[in-house]
Amino acid sequence: MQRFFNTLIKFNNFFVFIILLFLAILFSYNRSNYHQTKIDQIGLIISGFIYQPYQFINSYFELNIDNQKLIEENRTLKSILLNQKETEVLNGNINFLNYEIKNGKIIKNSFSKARNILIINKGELDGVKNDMAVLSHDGIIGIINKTSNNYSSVISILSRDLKINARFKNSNVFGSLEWKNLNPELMDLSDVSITNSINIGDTIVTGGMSYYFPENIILGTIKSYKESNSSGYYSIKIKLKSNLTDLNDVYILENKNREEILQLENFNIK
Amino acid sequence: MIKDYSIIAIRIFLLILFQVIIFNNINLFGIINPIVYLLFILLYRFDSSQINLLLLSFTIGIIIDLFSNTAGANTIATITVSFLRPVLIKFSLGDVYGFNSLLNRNIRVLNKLIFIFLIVFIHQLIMSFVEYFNFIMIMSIIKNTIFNSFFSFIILLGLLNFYNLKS
Repeated sequence: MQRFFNTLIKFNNFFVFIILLFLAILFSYNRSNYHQTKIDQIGLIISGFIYQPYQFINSYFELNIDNQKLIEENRTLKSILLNQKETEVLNGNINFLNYEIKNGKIIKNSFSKARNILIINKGELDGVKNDMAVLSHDGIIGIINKTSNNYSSVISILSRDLKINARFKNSNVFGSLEWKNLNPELMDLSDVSITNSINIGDTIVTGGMSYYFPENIILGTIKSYKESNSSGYYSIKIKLKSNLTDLNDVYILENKNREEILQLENFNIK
Repeated sequence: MIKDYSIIAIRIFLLILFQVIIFNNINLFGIINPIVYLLFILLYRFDSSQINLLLLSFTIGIIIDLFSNTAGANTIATITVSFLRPVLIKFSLGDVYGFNSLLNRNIRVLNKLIFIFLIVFIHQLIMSFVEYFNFIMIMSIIKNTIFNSFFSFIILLGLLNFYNLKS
């Protein structure tokens, strides 16, 4: 301890300088949007660089489970495809599809904070842009919010600020899904009026009223609900189908019509 | 002691006033705004406390930044220069036993010029780097640094001369 203090006294100028430099960088981070974006980008590069080798080693231990998941997903996709009457998609012309899909790997996952951020190993050089949707093999994960050349960060749906448009699978009742508690398995569905009848076990899917996520992706089932007569809305707890704590491979979706929809929206605002 | 501190306080106040009111608005050729508050770092006595210098330059930098709408560029540049000042003194003036201020007449003129130029140049380099904060703009950063440090150098020499005559 004595030695530690001696070093501190010996290099006191240096420590004061470092503290002041840190304060100055904090000052510029808060004062200018440009510097904030740039510093965030540097942070993303550093954390991507740190977590990449860890993910590389870790992925070998989960190869079996991942294969199992992929087989499962393939099976469901095959069954959907074989039961479909229109076989246009099979002819190789995929230009008319609305979504373009890229794959990526999660380098850093998080699910225990109030606002969870994930990092994936695809960036601007792979064509990833802000506001793209990120899906797992059995559900949705989040939305891309920052990109660097080789990495991007994703706002998880387990985040206080995010609301997702959702609807019941067998009726057209819409609500918005948000995360209020710290349990990564449960989410809250709000804005469903008590004039609709609902049951425990009903399936919830994504609604089409957003340009982030495609329609009809299964989110989860109703675990419990309460009627609050005073407000006229149900408060519903949803058990998520996908396990957001155990993720490895992700799909990144680019909505090709997004520009067009945004243009229309801006046009209407003017 | 109290006299020393009050001189430093008045000096800082006047330099900030000059910088904000006059020299930040010169905009010669669109990019040149001479930095005069570096006079404080030049005139600070060699045997005074280094930590005080760091804290004072941080304060000056923050105030100048607040007044000239820059995002921390002045602060970062000023504290770095005052941190590097002992190294620069050793490099350009050699042994400083005997004289404890830049105003001492025994220091050779060439050494003085090198010292002033190094401080101004490093300050400008860091400042324009933080202002642009992008390696793609490296040509603008270099251009800005060279022109600005040249003009600041001339003006600081003039002010130092004035100080010399007065004392």
